[in-house]
Amino acid sequence: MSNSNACSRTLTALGIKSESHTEVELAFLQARTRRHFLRSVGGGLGTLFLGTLASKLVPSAKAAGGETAALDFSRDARTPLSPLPPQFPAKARRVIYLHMAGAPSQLELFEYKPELKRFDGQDCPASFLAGKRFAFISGVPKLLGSQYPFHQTGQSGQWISDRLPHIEKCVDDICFIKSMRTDQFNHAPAQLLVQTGNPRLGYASFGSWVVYGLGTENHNLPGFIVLLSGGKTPDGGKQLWSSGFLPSVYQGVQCRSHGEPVPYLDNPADVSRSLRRSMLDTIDEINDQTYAAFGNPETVTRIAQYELAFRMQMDATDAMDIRKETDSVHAQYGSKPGEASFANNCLVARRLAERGVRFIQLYHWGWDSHGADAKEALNLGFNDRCREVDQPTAALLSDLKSRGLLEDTLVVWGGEFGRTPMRENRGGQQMKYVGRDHNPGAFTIWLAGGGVRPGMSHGETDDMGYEIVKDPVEIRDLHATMLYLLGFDHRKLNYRFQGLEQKLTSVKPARVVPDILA
Amino acid sequence: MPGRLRGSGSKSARLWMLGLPLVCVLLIAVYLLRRRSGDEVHFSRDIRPILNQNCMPCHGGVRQKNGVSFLFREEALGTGKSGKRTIVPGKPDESELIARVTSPDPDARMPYHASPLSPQQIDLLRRWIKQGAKWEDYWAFVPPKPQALPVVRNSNWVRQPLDRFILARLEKEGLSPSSQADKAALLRRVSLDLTGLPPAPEEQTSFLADSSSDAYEKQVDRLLASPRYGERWASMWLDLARYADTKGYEKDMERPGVWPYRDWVIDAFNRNVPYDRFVITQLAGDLLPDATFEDQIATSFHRQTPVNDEGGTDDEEFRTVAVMDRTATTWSVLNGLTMNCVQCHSHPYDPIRHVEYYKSLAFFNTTQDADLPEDTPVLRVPKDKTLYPEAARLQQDIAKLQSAVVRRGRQLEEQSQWFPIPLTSATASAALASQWEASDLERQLAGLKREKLAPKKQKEQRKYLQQAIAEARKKAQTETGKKTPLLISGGDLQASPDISGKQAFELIAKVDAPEITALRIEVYPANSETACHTPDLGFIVDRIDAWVIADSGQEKKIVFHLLVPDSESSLESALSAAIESRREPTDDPGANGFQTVPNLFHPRWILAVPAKPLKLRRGGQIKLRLTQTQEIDDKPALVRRVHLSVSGDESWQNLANDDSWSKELAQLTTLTRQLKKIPTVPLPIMAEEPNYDQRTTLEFERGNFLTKVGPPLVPDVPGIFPRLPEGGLRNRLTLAKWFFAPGQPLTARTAVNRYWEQLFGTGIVETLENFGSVGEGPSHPELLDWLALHFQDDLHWDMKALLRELVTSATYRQSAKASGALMEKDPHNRLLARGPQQRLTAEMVRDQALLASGLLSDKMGGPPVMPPQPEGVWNTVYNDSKWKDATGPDRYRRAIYTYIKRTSGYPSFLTFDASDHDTSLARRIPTNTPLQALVTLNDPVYYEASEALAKRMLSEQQSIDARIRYGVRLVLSRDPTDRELVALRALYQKTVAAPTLEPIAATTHGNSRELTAMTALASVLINLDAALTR
Repeated sequence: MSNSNACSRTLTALGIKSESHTEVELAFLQARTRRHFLRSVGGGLGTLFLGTLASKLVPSAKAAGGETAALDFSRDARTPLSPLPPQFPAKARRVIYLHMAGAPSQLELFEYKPELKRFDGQDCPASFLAGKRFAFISGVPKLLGSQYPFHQTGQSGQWISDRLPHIEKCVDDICFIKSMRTDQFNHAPAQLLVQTGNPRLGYASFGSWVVYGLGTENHNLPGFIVLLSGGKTPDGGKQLWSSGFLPSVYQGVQCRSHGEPVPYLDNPADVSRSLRRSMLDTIDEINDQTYAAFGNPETVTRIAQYELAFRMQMDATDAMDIRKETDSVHAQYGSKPGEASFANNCLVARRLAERGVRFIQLYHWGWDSHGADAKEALNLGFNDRCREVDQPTAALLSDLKSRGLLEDTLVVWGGEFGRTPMRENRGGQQMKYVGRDHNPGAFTIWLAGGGVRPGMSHGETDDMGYEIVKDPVEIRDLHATMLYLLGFDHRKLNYRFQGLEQKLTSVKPARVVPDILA
Repeated sequence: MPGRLRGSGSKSARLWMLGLPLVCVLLIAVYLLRRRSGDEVHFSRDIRPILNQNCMPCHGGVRQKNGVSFLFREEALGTGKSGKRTIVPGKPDESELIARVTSPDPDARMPYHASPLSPQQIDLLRRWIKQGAKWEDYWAFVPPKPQALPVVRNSNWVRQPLDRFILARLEKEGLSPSSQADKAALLRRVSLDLTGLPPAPEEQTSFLADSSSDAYEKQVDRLLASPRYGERWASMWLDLARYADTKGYEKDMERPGVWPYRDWVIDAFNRNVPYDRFVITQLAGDLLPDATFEDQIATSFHRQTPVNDEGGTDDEEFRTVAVMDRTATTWSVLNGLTMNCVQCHSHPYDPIRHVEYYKSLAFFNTTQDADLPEDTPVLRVPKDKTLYPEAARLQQDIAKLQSAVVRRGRQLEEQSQWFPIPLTSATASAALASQWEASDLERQLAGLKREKLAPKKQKEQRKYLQQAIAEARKKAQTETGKKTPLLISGGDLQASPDISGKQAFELIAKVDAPEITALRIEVYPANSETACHTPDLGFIVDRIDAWVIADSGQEKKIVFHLLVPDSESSLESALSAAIESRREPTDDPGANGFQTVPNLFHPRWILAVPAKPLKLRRGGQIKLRLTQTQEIDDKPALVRRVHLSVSGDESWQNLANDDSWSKELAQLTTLTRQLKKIPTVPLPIMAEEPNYDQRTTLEFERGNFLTKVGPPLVPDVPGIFPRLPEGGLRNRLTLAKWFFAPGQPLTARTAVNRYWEQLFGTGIVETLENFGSVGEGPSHPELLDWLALHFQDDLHWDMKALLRELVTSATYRQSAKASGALMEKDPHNRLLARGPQQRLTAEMVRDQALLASGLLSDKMGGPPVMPPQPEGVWNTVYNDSKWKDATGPDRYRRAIYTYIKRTSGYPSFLTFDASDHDTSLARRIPTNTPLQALVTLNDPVYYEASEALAKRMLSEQQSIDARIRYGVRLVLSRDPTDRELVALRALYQKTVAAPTLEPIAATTHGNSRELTAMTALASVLINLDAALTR
């Protein structure tokens, strides 16, 4: 049975057949891949070093949460990030997640709603308000049609507004989910839900889970890298890339596309690379003596980590240095070395993907289009945001594609909730600029590459773009689907904490969305 | 079973012959099975693990598939959907459990589509049912039992009773303990463990030179008495307390006054406050009889919960989150119990019911805090500690006076007769509201000069106010003449939620009373039945005005002499009203209303007392205007249901003319002014809601705070625990004391286990955060019980005494050297045949480098400091606070004084596994990563320390070797070995001499070649494995 067959068979099981069938299929695949791997890798010095660290990384074998045997995520203590095979053959090997912090309006970008346009300026019906909680809307707001024209494009004939002329050219590679839904309507909790599977503080981020589950392919770079643009840290703060209850080795490393890319990467001014080498030689030599005297395996781990740090200094600097790209590449992305821009970050993301970084997370801040001021207005600031991300996003997709990387790189683009079809009326009053309030009930996220079916659209909202009428996808469903593409049954990517087999998709039942899989 | 086999054998000799070998095999198998597991099946030991692992995920507290659950015995003995009884005690063959685990049909066999149970497991289940399916309480829920000290062969080794437990186990395993660590290593270990700092060279010398038999004990006593002790152990506690200098979530605004709580913790450790007192004060210091100022400070423990200031959030939602956090944190810190699992359903594994969670939550659901930006209620804590008594006295007097005033008003209100005055008309006017707002803003603008603001701020503020005034004026103009009718029902106002924006409500009522001495305005929640647990948004009335309408239609302003509020929270505006009426009563727009923020739980009222009794003709009319321009959670804070009534009682007139009342009010103003003169910071503290405004707790359906079910709950502890005292109050104080009552099974165990983990690296129960049935079992159960009872009954919760026993034990004093054989037998050192070796904590890594380099400041307490961190790390949305690298001694304070921002932790601490302080953290999991190497090698903080250390080595010693020896003693707390000396000397000489190493020489700092080389060497020292461990 070839891998792709196995995959589609499993998929069938997940999508159509009963849960129990899935279990059997997954168990079978798991037996073929992971267990085989573990058998062939074990032994030697590594066995000895399954020391204190490893024991803490490992969910105990007497796991109580799973319905079948838990997966084994134990590793050699010296290499807590060493790669592990996925549970079953995967389509995606890495993720580039482009999070538009603040929640971009789907009604100005992807959701073509001519009916809403027809009712523009009219009082919103009472049924839209009953039992709903809003961040700012109060009293009776007016309906607001899209501020921009839409047209159909590409072979797939998908609708898109005129704000994204570059991304428009990639629609045949894109799979839109127009029926995303969340239960959080404030930015920080909603971003936490998207990125950690839980709206409260203290949980492990998506990237941390993936790096915990799969390790990294390039030890000279962090496995989970975060890049920011738009001038602000996203609303949820660094908790969005925290490892939560997972060991801190799995936390995201915030890097910069200018200056020192990783905190503390550069040697102090007085220390040359050769001096650093001599220093490390001395450290290694003395640590060797310490190990000989005390026999603590952590000492050996430490020696290895110092060597890794030395290599990371070279490799991370190189990976982040976009000056090494040609002028034509810069023209394609719109990147300018030395700036902190989304364009630069997209280019860095491609360089990191090439180098085997597992999870690359970009945040672009400033999409919170309430209309409270010009920067937040749909008719003003929103245009700038579109311009900032349109070209680089499209360049990233086509660049990945031309390099053969899109196949196994899962690209995700979207915010933390949607925006209302009603015009915001903060405090019950008409506002100077045009804006929309938060709508947790419906929004659009799109995916590309990494085993996603291209050129399609999943799910539908009503004529006003307010509520989902077909195929709702919860955040946890998106997570389950992405984990599926990465080779995991989301219920099996576990870590034991507080007596529970914790998982990204948390406690409510989540499902893979079979429709969007290639 | 053997009997039956014998019987069948007697039927036919042939069969008997054929069956003999089979019978023999079976007999032997049964015999072996029996012998291996003993006759009596123990539920906890034998059965619970099978159920937890194989059955509970689908048939436990979370899911009860087909109506079957194994969480409680009565459930397990019940009947599933199939109609069959799951377990029939004494009758395995009638128990569906046995039928299912042995079924040949793969769709019926349990566990469902997973590996079948082993024959041994099935046999255990069978025999357990046969023996009556006895249920046993899980060990952790049974109080610790007194333990006899084990007899050991090598009793000479024993130094403390606890050593006997360790040694007995080692002897059983055929292991012997390691020899004692050398003195230098021991002093380093105990110094870092007790004070978080390595020993100074003088301390090393004096200990090495001391050959008395209690030389080590003397060091321990010195360390326990050091003020550094409190700083080190406070680190542990502040992880549990999720202590931070900011509020978390999107805006993550500063909590400028939170540090007095941190200082209280440090001080409490140093004063060696017993653990019971330490905890009770933090949980319920405010409720202690004669609570002191410090007791109130301690209650900030549970005000360390995050607050969400993001625009458009529902304060009740995040208040509820905070209350749930307090519940979970209390149980996890004190009992290692995962109570948060029970938020949405019964506990998945432990016998705690869903409703019991909400009974526990009810203890915490009646505090005043409500996710407000101001963090109310706060205690004003003087920046200068010597002013504590004065600030304490003033705040106490103010509180007393306030409650006296409110109590008096409430009493009078209750004794008075009230006559409803039905509304005849109700309208809303946005124009009037905007008009008032504009004049209020103008008043603010005029008052701006008096405020001592920086010129830039002043200018910004002026610009903002001018703009707002213009907008309000414009709005007033465009809306003029527009009046929206409001619904009246049964004579009361019933404004619909459609009414929005800034509004002045004008209510006209018909009055049939001959004389009016007071007007009562009552505001009701939309649904008074449910609001006590699921509240409405609150309201803010900026100003209350009233007129008498003459027959002619002419309106005559009513001058109110007093506003009598129903609660302390509206007292301030009432106060200003009282003073106002002493001035010329005009249309002065100053705030003069009442409010309930952010939520309305119960009907609220305010009384307006006119200067003179009003005499209206029969059928006369009163017009009342409620001006409302404020928002709560970015939503208009409007009253919806209003009931008006009047009183003609003389008592109100008397009150208006009562000297003592106005004197009290004046006194209140004086005290408030005096308090304002003391420079203070606002510390969020716990305070109960007044009796008349308490919330009610119901069970949340599946943890959703918007859907509540069942009857109001009385606060209680889960049924598996000892009962609360009969008849007493069910409040936080009762709960806090209950944790320390005899028979509480987990408080002492959890506490001693935590100390054990801090010293030995792993707890006796490894999962500090979970003593429940799916946590790890104790490695030394008898020791755990012995220590727990010893701590509780003999040491009376004396933390220093406990620590002293632990660190003076023979177990602790062992060398950490591990032979290959021992490594293989006990890689995680759970048996403790060798001494502990742990990586330094994030705090210790910093403090050690600073101490060794001579940079460390020994200043204690005060506001947090900002040692250097990379630029651009802080960039929080809607929050302008900046990280400014500290200069002077504040740059070199101990780690515990570093500013903790929730959304952006201090990077190098996070890299070394420190908590992000978002939620209570019971256990840090140490990692070992290249990013840590980058911190201690390259972080300017560490390079600065290396350079200072190098200067110290250069200036205080002459020869290269002496300098290196000195440096090693400063960092590693011992002399270098010869080989280490050779390696370090070689590095130094190579660096100084080698011209090929560049840029070696004086470059950036103008440092000498010697200093550069010595700095590199010092940096090597602080990066050694031996430096990073203890």
